[in-house]
Amino acid sequence: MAEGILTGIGTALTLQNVLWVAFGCLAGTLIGMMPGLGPISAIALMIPVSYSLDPTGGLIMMAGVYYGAVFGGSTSSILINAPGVASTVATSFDGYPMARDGQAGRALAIAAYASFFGGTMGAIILLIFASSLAAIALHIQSAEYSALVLLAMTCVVVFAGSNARLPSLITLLLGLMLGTVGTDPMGGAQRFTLGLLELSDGIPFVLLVMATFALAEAFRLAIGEPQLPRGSFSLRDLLIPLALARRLFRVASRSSVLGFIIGIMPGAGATLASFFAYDLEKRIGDGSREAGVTAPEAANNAASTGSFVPLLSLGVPGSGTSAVLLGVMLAYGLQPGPTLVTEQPEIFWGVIISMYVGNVFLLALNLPLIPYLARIVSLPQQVLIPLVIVFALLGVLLTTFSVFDLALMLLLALGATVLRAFGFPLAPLLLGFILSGLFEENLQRALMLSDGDVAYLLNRPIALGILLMNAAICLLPLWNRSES
Amino acid sequence: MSFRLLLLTLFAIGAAYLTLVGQIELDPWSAQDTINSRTLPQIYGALLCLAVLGLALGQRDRTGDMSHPSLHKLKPLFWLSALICVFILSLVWLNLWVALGGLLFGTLWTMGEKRLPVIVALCLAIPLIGFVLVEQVLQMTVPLS
Amino acid sequence: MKCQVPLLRRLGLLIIALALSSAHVAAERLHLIIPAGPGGGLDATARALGNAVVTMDQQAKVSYENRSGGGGGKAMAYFVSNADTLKNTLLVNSAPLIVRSLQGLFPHSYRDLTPIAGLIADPGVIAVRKDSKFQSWRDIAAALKGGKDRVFIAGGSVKGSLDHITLSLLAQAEGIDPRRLRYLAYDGGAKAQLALLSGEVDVMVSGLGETLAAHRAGTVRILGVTNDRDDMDGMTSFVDQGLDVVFYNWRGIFAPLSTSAERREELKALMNTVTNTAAWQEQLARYGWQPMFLSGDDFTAYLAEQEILLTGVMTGLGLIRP
Repeated sequence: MAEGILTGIGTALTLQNVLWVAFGCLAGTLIGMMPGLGPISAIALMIPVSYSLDPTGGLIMMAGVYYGAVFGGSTSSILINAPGVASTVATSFDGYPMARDGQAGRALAIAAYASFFGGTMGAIILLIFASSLAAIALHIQSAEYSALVLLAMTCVVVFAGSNARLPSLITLLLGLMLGTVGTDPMGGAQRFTLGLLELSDGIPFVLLVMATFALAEAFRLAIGEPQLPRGSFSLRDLLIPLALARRLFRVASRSSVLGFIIGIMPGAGATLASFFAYDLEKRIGDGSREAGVTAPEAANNAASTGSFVPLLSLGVPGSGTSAVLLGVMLAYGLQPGPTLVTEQPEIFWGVIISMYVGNVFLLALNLPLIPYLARIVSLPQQVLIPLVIVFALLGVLLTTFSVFDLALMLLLALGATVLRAFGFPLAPLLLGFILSGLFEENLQRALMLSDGDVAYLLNRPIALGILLMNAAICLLPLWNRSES
Repeated sequence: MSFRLLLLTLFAIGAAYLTLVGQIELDPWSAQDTINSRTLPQIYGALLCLAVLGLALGQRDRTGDMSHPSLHKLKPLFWLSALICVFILSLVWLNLWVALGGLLFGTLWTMGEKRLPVIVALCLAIPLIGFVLVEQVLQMTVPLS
Repeated sequence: MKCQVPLLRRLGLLIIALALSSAHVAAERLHLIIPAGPGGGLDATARALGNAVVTMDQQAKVSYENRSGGGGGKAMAYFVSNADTLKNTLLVNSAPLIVRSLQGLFPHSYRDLTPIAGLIADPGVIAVRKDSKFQSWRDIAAALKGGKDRVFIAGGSVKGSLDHITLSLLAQAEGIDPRRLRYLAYDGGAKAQLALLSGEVDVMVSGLGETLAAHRAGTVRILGVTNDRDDMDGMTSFVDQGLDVVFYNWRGIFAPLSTSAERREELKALMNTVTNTAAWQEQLARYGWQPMFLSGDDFTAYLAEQEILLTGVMTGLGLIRP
């Protein structure tokens, strides 16, 4: 294996490939920062470019594009509360308030360090355990998925604090309900489409997030008291005090491991990972906002690396992005799968190492940009609000090209503004929406497979364990009450 | 708008959702499944109604920013929504980037930016950057419908 | 009123175009509408075709437009209602077009389009794990008929999709009521394949394109293919196994209904030449696509044939209500 790794380093670090990964990072960051364009679109848009390269060069460039796009997404998530992809939603929970308080530079820097750390940890775990971890992906079946998704939903409601539990439950349910609009994931029935063709594919994620986070935030700023922009924007923001760094190191370490493990499971891995890591820090960590940015960023990057495990070891893509990457690999005549390690070690290790190189380059390229990016929040409110509105509308238009969607978006944004004004948290709404389809399809399959027999669960210890954890967390508030 | 009205609206949403659940057409072979296209929506709708009731009973005197909204504060919200509506309607017959310039102009003006050079610069620069990036660099075609 | 609308629109475009002074001189240009988002099979088909056209004729300009939504219905609605104003615009579409219009998900059908050429055909496959207890399709059919074991079959999309239909065609040919099948829908062929590998299900129905790599890598075994070609890579077609099931997910190119006969011949000729170029063959090999070249009337006849076949199986499934 050591030989394989050395071959990999040799392949990834030729001057030509380093140039390609740098180019990929830059292009990815730019595309990722644009409204509505996430890693999948970034990779799809770069495919024509990759054809002119040899397989390793092409894949290495794609790794750069991917990491760049993920970073670009966190930027808009922190600066203007507009997460472009589901996995950076949790970053905005603490990142955006930090930016509003004049710590935009610090929040971005922490996000960049945490992403780098998560990616590094992910790559290391992948290097050591690559093929043996594949077994985990195979143990997670429909029953485990539905139990895990239920756990994420239980956590967001129970951990909301005694006053916010019912409001959180209400917005979670609203999100789940919005997620049921469209074609039923199992039966194929049309639900809640009101006979409209526009709704038959469901509500796009970008639409909901741009409406309830970005647009609603612009509205909230418009009706709130005007605030004066605060904060400094210098390269000094990039330096994290040692004490804080030490604290965040621990946060990032546990989030990365958690993220990687959840990331191996195909599907919403990176998203679930970031939510879980955030919840975990809020419960057992110090609850600081810095930790709140670190945890989801480290977790989602480690998870994205984790999602390569099923791709490289089983030949089955674990996420939308790795599905597009699989397309690229196949286009080069490579066959990802257990044989890739043995038959084409230079490609296998080349990909893994290049993902790491992509990470390093991302950090080097983007850190100097941060003070300039952070200046966006220092714009006076009367300029910032119009820009956020335009960004949000463009984000939806560029993904769906539908005027109907814009109208729907305005409606949802107004609803979200009202809910927020009355103190309802909106994060559970987004979580419910993201998990709605995943929950339903896995639950349906699990129930069909088990034929409604509870004994089925006994044969599945992981699912049973997660369900028991669910029950324990539900009982937590009662226990706390009796204690106080 | 009072908190009570909001709760009433939420309850109505739950009830309307439950009514719509009844209209979902089930395919003939999955009607007997343990869980079909209607099951989870039924649960969600019922839970929402219950949670809203619980909130209504538990906390009668909840207040937020908007418990006594003044007209002055809601005005910008109204104007912004109106401008976005005009933008959406104008997309049917105007080029996206031109319409976007118009939207920027309107929103900047209503948000209180009165320096004309700033407004004009932004209204020209942002659509232009968008056009170059999206249609020229990324070669995406932006259709309008 | 009517003449003002395009004028304003053109004016807006003109201003920006002049500002950039990037007005191109019109060469042979094609505009491809893709009824799906970037990154999928239809998107790849359109871009591969465009790539081949540009390689053949350096002067040509090809642009793409992703119009997703409504299961392809939004692109159809746009294409049909703007047929008279769309110049040099083509629509890429695939077999779900017929399925969805039969289901009544959208009001249009292939009859509202001018079929130009069929380009690619992806047959369906039945696959199992390499160490499966099922050695052949016969074993699976016997288990399904016997009804003693509960056999779950994974597919990459909802009930009523192509995967489910492929399976139902096979079941019907075996005399099994397709409504009694235990079909489990997954979100995409990849997840169905993972469910197969993890042992959650024992059988998978999918497209050849998505499964071939895994078959060659030896993780799954393809027990039958719904094509009528010679055997390849140790796979046998169902026809050779005595089952009269031939079914493809085709992808093809359509022009607006109002296209003149002259222009239609031009486009047919263009597709004919493009599909014979080395560039196109290279794209086919790259994606593992099976070519299916059907031009003009042959393509229309094929579509009509498919519609009859699908009406039969979908009625049997209860997807079309009489």
